[in-house]
Amino acid sequence: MTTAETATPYLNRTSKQFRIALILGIIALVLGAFGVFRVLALGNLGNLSTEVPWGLWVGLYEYFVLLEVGAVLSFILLRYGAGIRELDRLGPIIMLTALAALVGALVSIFHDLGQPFRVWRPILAPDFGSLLTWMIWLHLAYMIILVIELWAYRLGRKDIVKNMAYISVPAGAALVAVLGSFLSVAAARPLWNDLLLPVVYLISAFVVGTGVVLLQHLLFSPDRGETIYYRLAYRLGRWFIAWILVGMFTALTISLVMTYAEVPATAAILRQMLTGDYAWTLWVFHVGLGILLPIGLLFWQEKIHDRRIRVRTLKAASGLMIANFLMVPMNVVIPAVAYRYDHVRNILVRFEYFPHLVEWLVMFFVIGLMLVIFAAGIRLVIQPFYKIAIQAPVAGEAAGPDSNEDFKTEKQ
Amino acid sequence: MSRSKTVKTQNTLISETNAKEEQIENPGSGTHSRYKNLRSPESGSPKSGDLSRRDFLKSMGTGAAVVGIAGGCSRADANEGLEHLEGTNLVMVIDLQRCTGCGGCDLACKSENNLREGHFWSHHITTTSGKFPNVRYEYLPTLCNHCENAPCEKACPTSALHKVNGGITAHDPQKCIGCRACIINCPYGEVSAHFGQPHEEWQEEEELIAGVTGSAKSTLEDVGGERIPIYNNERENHGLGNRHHGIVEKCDFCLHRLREKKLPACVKRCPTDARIFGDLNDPNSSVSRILSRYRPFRRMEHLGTQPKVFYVRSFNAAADYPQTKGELAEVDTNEERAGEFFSQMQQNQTERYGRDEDGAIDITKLAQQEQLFG
Ligand code: SF4
Ligand code: SF4
Repeated sequence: MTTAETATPYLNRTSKQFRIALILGIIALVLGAFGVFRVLALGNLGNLSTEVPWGLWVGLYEYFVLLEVGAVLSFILLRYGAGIRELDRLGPIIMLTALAALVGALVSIFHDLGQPFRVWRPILAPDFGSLLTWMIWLHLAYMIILVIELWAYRLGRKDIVKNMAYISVPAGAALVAVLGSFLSVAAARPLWNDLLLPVVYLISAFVVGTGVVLLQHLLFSPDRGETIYYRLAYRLGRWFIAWILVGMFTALTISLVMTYAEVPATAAILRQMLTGDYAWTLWVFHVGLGILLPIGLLFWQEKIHDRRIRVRTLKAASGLMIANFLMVPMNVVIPAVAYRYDHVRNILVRFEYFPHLVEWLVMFFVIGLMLVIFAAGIRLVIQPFYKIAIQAPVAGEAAGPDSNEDFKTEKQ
Repeated sequence: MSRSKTVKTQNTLISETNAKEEQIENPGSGTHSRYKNLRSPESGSPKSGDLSRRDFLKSMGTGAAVVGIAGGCSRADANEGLEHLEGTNLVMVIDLQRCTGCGGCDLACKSENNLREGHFWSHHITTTSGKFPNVRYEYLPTLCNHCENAPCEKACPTSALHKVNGGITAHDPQKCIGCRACIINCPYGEVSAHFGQPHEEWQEEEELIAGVTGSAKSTLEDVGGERIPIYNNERENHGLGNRHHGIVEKCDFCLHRLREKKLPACVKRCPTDARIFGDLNDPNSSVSRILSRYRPFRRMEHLGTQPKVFYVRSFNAAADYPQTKGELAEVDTNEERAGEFFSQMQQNQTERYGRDEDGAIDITKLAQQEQLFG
C-alpha cells in the first residue's frame, strides 16, 4: 500500500524528472527559436511550395494528434474497458502527455499557416462546410476536456475524472475521424482516399496510444520496483503486441488492395513509396525500427526471467515504436503531395521535397515546448495528485464521494 | 514553381499511357444533357428552399459568424459591383480546333493580374504522342475551372474561397489564412501559394546580359522603384493589385474586368477567338449554342467537380491542313495545294459554326460582350 514512506522517493523521482524535462525542453526551445523567428518574423516557410504545400509540419501535426487521442483512448479502453484498475494512478500522466501532444500539434500547424496571426478567423468567422473548421473546433473542445480532467486529478475529484474520461472518448474519436476524413475526402489526392484514413488513423491511434500508456507506466508509475509494476508492464506489453498486429494487418490489407487494383493514380504512388528514392524512410524507420524491431523485442522479453531486463526491453520497444511512428503520417502526407498523377498525359509527376533546416528547427521548438509543458504538469498536477492519493482514507474507512480512493493501489 | 514549369523540368515520368485512365477521361463519352444542371437558374445562387446539407452546415457557420461579427470581423458583400451578373452562370468554352497554342492567353493573364514569377492563372498542358514522323502534339489551355462543386471552396475554413454571382469561385485575400487546404483539394493544380513578397524577382541586381542590359532592379529604379514597370493598377478594382506573402491566389475570371463589363483578359487577347465566354443560363448565348452542337469534355469529369471550362473539338491537323510528312503526306504538296487546303479550312470553320437554322454562331468578342452585358 502506498504510504508516506514510499511517497518520498516517488516525489523525489518526479522532481528529478521535472528537472530533466525542463532542462531538455529549454535547450530544444533555444535551439528551435531561430527557426520560429524565421517563420513568424520573416515568413520563411522552408521548402514548402505550391507543388508540395504540406510537409514536415503537417506530418508532425497529425503525429501529435494521433498521440494525444491515442493515449487517452487507449488508457480509457484499458482502464474502463478491460477493467485494469491498477492504471488509475497513471491517469494524470496520460492526460498530461495528451495535453502536451495537443499543444505540440497546434503549435506545429500554427507555423504551417502562411498567415499564422489570422488563425482566429476559423474560430470567430468559421465556415462549417470545411472539415478543417471542424478539426479546429474539435481540438479546442478536446483541449478543454483535457484541462478539466487534469484539474480534477489535481483536486482528487474522481467523479469528474470519470465523467470527463467518458466525454473524451467521442471527442477524441471524432477528432481522429475528422483528421482522417479531411485527407480522405480530397478527391484530388486519390492515395488518401484509398487509404481509408479515418479507420486507419483510429487504429493507428490505438497502436501508438497503447505504446504511450506502456512507456509512461514504465517511466512514471509510482509503484516502480513493486510486483504490481512488473505485472502491469507485462500485461500492457501484450496489449501492445495485439494492437501492433492489428495495425500491421490493416496496413497490409489496404496496401494489397491498392496494389491489386492497379489504379494508376494510386498504384504508381504506392510503388514509389515502396521502392522510390525515399523508400528507406518507410523500410528503415517505419517498418524496421518502428514495427519489426519493437515486435521482436516484445516477443523476446516474454522469454526473459530477469524483471529489470524485461522492463528495459519493454521501454526500448515502446520508445522505438512511438518515435518512429512519426513516419506513419509522414508517409501518408508527403507522397500524396510530392507525386501527382497527370490525367491529361497519363503520367506520374514528381515534385522534390525534403524538409528545410527551418522546418526541423521548428520541430525542435515544438518538442521543447511540449517538454516544458510536461515539466510544468509534473509540478502542478502529478505531484499534488500523488500527495492527495497517499492521504486518502484506505479501503474500509469512510470515504466521501469526492475522495480519490480508487486512485490508491494495493501493493502485491 | 508553376505546374507546367515543373512539368518541363520534371525528370521522372513514371507511368506510360494507360488505357483504363483514357476511358475514364474519354471526351466523347459525355452528352450535353450531362451539363443540364449547370443551366438551372439557381445553379449560381441556390434557391432558399433547396437547402443541401452543406448549406445547412454553412448556415450554422453563418450563425457562428454572427458571433464573430459582434467581435469585430464583419464581412464585406462579396457581390458588390457584380450585381449585373446575378442569375448568370458564366462558363468558358475553349475551342481546341481554333487554338493555335500561341500562349497569348497566358501572357495576357500574367500582365493583367500582375502575377509574380512562376505563377500562372492561365496555363497549358502539352502532350506529345506517337513516333516520328507520325507525331501528335496537343496543347490544352488550362485555368481555374470555377467548378460548380468546387472542392477548394469546400475545404476553405474561412470562406476566403467563395462563390460570387455568375458562379465564379473568387478568393478574398484578406480572409485567407494560408492553410493551403485549397491547393491540396483542387484536382487541377489551379491554386498557387504566394510565398515571399510580390515580384521579388525585380530586386535581382544581376544584369540580364552582362555589360549589355541593366538588371531587373535598375529597370525598376528607372521607373520610380515603387511598382514594377508592367504593373496593371486596374487589378485593384477587385481584390488586391498584388497578392502578399502567405496567402494563395488563383484565376477569378478577371472579376475586376467583369465589374466594368469587360471580358476576361485571356478571352479578350486570344487572337483566334478560341476562348468563348458567356452565360450558360442564356440559351441564345454563343457558349450555350456551341455546347449544344459539339460534344464537350471537361477536365477530370469523373471527380464530380462540375468544371465550368469546357473544351470542344480537338486540333486535327489532318482534317484541314496538307500533310508534308508521315503516312498521310501528300505527294504533290506545293503552295497551290496548300492554298486550296487553307480556303477549304476556312470554309469548314464557317460551316461548322453556321450550319444552324438560326444562323451562324457569332463567336466574336463583340458578340460575347453584347450577349453578356448588353
Ligand atoms: S479548378 Fe480548382 S481552384 Fe478552380 S474552382 Fe475548381 S477546384 Fe477550385
Ligand atoms: S489557403 Fe486561404 S483560400 Fe485556401 S483554404 Fe486556406 S484560407 Fe481558404
